[in-house]
Amino acid sequence: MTTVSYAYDFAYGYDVNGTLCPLLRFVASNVEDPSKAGAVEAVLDVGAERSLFNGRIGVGLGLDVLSGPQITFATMAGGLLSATLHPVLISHAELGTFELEVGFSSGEIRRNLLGRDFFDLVQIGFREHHLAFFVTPSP
Amino acid sequence: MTIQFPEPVGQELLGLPNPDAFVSRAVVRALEEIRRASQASMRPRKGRRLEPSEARELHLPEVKNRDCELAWRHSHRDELQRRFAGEWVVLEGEEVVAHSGDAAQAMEQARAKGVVVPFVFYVDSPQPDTVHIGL
Repeated sequence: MTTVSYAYDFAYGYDVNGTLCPLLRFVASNVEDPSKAGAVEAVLDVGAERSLFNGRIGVGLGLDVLSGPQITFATMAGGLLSATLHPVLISHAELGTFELEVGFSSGEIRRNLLGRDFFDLVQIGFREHHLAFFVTPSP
Repeated sequence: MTIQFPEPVGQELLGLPNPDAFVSRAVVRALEEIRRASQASMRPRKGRRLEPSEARELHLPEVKNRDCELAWRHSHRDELQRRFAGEWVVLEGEEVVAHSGDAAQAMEQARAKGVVVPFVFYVDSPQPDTVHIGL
């Protein structure tokens, strides 16, 4: 049996619909110009191989989301979402600052997702019944 | 690109009697090589945690506590959905400082009003009997 201890615990947060879900709220900044920043929230999604943010938020961070390496996200319903990859800084009051290459959607999406690329940088655990998740900011 | 080969095919080939088995193993090895090569061609994920000293040198914007905004958003959910459904909203304290169908425009409007780090989120239309999955 492996026992894991975590440095921080967080309660699930209410999204705009009033639903409690595992949300992380942070400041996303442009790597080249950190003054271009926005406070955003993302759903922690263990089903997402990579993180995906709304492309227009990327524009709001001063990114040229029409350029950059292309990537396709396949959805559960079989649909495909195209995106471009850009590094961004993700700053959280407790967890510190991460540089993560995030996919920025070419079309409209309503929720940002932090996926397993972010989980690769931390240790994370969920207690769904207790509406809480736990994070240690190192792999 | 990902190429997937169902394992049973390889196992069946390996199970063939000699001398075909020799050829079969070569085929399975070749298929495995192709699969490894296709996986290697996938763009690796890139990310790292910055050392605190490194982060300090970047003079990043302050990470503000948003408890006030979140409490207001939760208690004014119906009003937000009535007024701004289908839009991106920037909330500063208890004030909606910008809203637009375009997240980038909402962020820019907020900056024009002096908000350094706009807290931006999408306001869904009310969706009764709906549950969310990742995408």
